[in-house]
Amino acid sequence: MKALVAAVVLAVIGQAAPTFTAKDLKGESVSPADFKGKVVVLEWVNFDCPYVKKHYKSGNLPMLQEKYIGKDVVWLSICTGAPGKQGYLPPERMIERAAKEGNKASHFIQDTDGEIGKAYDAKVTPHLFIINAEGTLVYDGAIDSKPTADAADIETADKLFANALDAVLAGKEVTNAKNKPYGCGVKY
Amino acid sequence: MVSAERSGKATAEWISASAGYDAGKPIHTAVRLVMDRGWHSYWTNPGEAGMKTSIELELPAGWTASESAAPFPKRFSSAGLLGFGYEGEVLFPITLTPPHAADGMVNLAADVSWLTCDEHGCVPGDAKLTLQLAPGKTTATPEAAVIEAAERLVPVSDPGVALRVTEDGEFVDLALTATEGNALDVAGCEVFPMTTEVVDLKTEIRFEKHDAIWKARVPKSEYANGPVSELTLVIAGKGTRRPLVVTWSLVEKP
Repeated sequence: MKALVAAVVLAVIGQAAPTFTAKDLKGESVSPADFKGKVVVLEWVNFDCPYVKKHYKSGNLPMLQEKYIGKDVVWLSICTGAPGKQGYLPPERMIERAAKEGNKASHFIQDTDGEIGKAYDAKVTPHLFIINAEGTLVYDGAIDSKPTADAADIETADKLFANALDAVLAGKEVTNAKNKPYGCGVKY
Repeated sequence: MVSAERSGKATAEWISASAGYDAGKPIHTAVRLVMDRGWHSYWTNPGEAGMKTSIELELPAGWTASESAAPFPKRFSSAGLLGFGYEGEVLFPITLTPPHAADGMVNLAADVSWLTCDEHGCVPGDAKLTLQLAPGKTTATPEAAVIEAAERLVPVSDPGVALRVTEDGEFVDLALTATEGNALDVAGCEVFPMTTEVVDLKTEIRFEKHDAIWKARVPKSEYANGPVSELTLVIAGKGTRRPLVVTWSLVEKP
């Protein structure tokens, strides 16, 4: 069951991040509002996308998830897409697939009606967002600076998302808060 | 001798207009990418998603190659996202020049990587292509005509045409002018921004004539960061003999 403030794009850097309530794969109710006082990451994911595979098969995203959850960040992996769209799996199969890929998110949400994706204007997978402890959107963009499907590029890329998250956790301003994410189109 | 490699949803091959070379004389070649029906590959500016096709050459000592040239793209929408690229097949022309001292059979290699997407998802592809050329034997191959046709689809710059870019709040104003005696007609032409993250891609840019100046206004890209410092456009259509590439930059180049 999801509730939205309005059915338009609400995600603006520097403003309150759009709220929503969704069920995760375990059936638990999840909402960013539950995590006021903590930094929240939203990661749009589609395990069949070559750009997502780049960051999972290399261990990069699981490493980032583990690292920042260890710093008390709440990490939400979100898969937008109705049954039948690429990337969708029935919940039991998604639990298996996420585990197989090494996903370590705090919660995994299936955004089957696309409402969360539309509120954030999630364009591609991976697309990363950071909400600070006050509930303000402070990052909307790419995971890193090399828009390729080649895992060899991870090491030498600018870590755009991780740098932004480090700044938020250090109480500093995020210098590159909005940039163009790369990946496969999110299917609405 | 040419090699064709299948990867992902496309087949890549390196074709040549001649089977051999004469030392010091340019050879016209092209990397041809043939995509499965329903799948697109991408241009230099791929659009809202996608990935540009990349070609990296390994040449023997002394050999040089023209800069990577992409034919002007097609604008399409895939899974609700705007893209610039190709469908069916696309040829990327490469002109090779052997050194004056070149002799013997030579082997050249090209590392090509691309992304193809359809309405449902994306599949990457990559191939290491080889081209073998013998000295002499420079008669035209059957591929010569299709390579020449492909070269005509690659945008060229015209020193008689200038682009000026100014900002007005959330918009970017474009002005195209031609020097005296240069007829410029870009009415109804398609305009493709090659520089990423400057202008909004969803707006189709259409120039309109105001006295001697062709003008267009387009919203800034949501990713524009600070003042516009450079913009390259490719313009193609009835009024241009060859597709045109024109660049404006904030700093005058000497």
